[in-house]
Amino acid sequence: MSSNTIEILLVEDNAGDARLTLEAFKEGKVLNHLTVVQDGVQALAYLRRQGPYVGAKVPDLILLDLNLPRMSGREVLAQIKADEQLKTIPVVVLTTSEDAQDIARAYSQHANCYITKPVDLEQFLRVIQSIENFWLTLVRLPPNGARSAG
Amino acid sequence: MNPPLVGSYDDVLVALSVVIAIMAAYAALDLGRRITFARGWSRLLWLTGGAIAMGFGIWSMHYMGMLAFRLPVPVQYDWPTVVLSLIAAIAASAIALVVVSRPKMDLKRALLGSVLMGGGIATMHYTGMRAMRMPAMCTYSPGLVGLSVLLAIVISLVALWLTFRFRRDAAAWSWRRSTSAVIMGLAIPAMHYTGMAAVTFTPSTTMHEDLSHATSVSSLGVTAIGLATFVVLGGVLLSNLRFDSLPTPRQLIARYFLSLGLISVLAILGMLLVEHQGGQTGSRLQMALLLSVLGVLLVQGILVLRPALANIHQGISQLELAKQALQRKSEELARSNAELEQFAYVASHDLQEPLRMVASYTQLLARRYQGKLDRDADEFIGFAVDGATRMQTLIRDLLSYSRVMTQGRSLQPVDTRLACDAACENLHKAIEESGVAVSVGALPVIQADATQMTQLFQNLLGNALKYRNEQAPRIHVDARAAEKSWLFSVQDNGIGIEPQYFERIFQMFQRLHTRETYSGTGIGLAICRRIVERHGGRIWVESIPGQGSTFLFAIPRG
Repeated sequence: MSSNTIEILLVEDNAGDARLTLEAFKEGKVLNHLTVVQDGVQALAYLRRQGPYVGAKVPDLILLDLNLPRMSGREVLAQIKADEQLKTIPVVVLTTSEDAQDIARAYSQHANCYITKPVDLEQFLRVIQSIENFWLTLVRLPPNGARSAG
Repeated sequence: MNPPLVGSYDDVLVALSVVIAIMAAYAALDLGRRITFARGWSRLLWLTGGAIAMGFGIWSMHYMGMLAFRLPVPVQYDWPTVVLSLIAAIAASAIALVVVSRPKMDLKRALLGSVLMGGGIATMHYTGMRAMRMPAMCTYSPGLVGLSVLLAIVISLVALWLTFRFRRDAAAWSWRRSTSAVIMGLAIPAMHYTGMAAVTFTPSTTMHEDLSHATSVSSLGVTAIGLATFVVLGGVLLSNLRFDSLPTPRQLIARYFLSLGLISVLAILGMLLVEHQGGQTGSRLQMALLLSVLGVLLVQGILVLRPALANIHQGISQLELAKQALQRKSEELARSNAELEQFAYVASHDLQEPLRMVASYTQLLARRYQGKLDRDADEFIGFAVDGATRMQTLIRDLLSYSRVMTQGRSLQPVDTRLACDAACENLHKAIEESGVAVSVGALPVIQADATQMTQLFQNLLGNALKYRNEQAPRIHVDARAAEKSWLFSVQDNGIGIEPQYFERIFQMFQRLHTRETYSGTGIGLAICRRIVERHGGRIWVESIPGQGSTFLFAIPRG
């Protein structure tokens, strides 16, 4: 895998949604690699390269669902943002919840942005495209080496 | 030796004495209960008052019995001796009440109590006899005197036993207590009249006794004694009647029989008075007449009044039951309605998730493979996408329908003009594309849910836009003040609606057109009606097919 491939971690328990996101990124222009984990515990293990994820790459971007089995996305977010090694990774909360309380809480836990999954496919594709355009093209992310060196 | 005087009995006075005896017995039983339950001062008070009332009752019965006995010679009474006999009666009663209200009673106590009480009663009786002043000699038959004393003791024993048995019976009136009272009440006169039979009066010309305190008993005196007895004993019994706690029909029945009883007593005493004063001819007939009238009233009370009032009472309780059942039903209905709403909300909310999968992937199929497979595949994909999309709309509408009730906000002052403008703003694309001229009149500020008002206008405007005529389409929104409400109207010059559908269009999923002609789920107007009803108003339509429709809704003015 080439060194300028963008690493994305998708935390999503719904396989249909995960695949849809994968497909949307496939249609994108930026070379990327998407890894899917299905719950909060796996997500943290991946990020901390524990257990089966010893050789895992540190992602450039995390797409996080809020409602997850075992450990919720809210908890995962709190753990990431409290972790010196991980807190610089941008976290995009991508969820079906339109609850104002969820939104406020996510931002107060330093989520980098909060997006409600659109119901319609076209809109969903557009949203993923926007994420790609903004986070993977427009934004200058912190150097990956700064994190992996730790 | 002169032949003994032959005495006769006055039936009415004998009957009266029996009635008094029964009342006294009932009072005794009742007092036993009260004294048992009373404590401290209240107990002493009840004991004293009870002994006086009961003693007076027994004494009065005895005197009525004495007066009922007629001798062919004038009889006078020595009143200090009479008072002495009254005191004996009260003492006997006090002993009885003390014995029955003790925590325990054994044979020894019961026997001692009954000897004391029976002795007291016998003392009263023979002291009372000694009070008689007349030109005659009294000789007593020892056997009968002994029998009467024995009777007094036995009756006392039975009375004590019964009273003790029933003293815990908390109910003021019961058949058991009434039956005991009648038995005791009949036994007491038996003793009395045995005692009367024990004495033989022999005429004598010489008066041995002291006449300085002697007084004759007039019929007025009899009446006074009778009345006083009824008042004292009746007071004890009536104090049990808690009128307020009785249901109304029972109160009426109790009042009826009480007043009947009072009238009877007064009438009988009055009759006695009349008879003793002058002994008018035909007074027996009058009494019979009076008694029959009273009897008729009694029978009427038992046969007519009681059943009628019982029926009314039953009717009232049935009505009460029906009311409660209705209330329960309406509560159940409200609950099941709320549950249904909750169900609709949860169902439509949770259905969205899997449906999103179906829709997304059929759309993805269409996107990737449209034109790459054969013509059939394209058509199938088309149907799948269309079905999924329509179902999404349906569920979204269903969700917003259930949200009218579950997610509604409290009613606050809302400028309906702003709500209408917001609706137009949401629809501005459709308005521009259709070329419909929308005009809005003066709209009021009302108590409403702003979001729902906007939705209401938006649905009605959306319909007017959708079912427009192509020539110079226009919509006019207006409102005017009616008597108690604001009457809003959304008027168009569109295709109109046949009158037979005026009601149906407001029902859920009711559509008048095929999907090919006009799209939609048939929920829009159902939502409108629900919103209006939540605001306490109603909505209806007036229309002429081909010329246009006017949707009207009335919202109560705060």
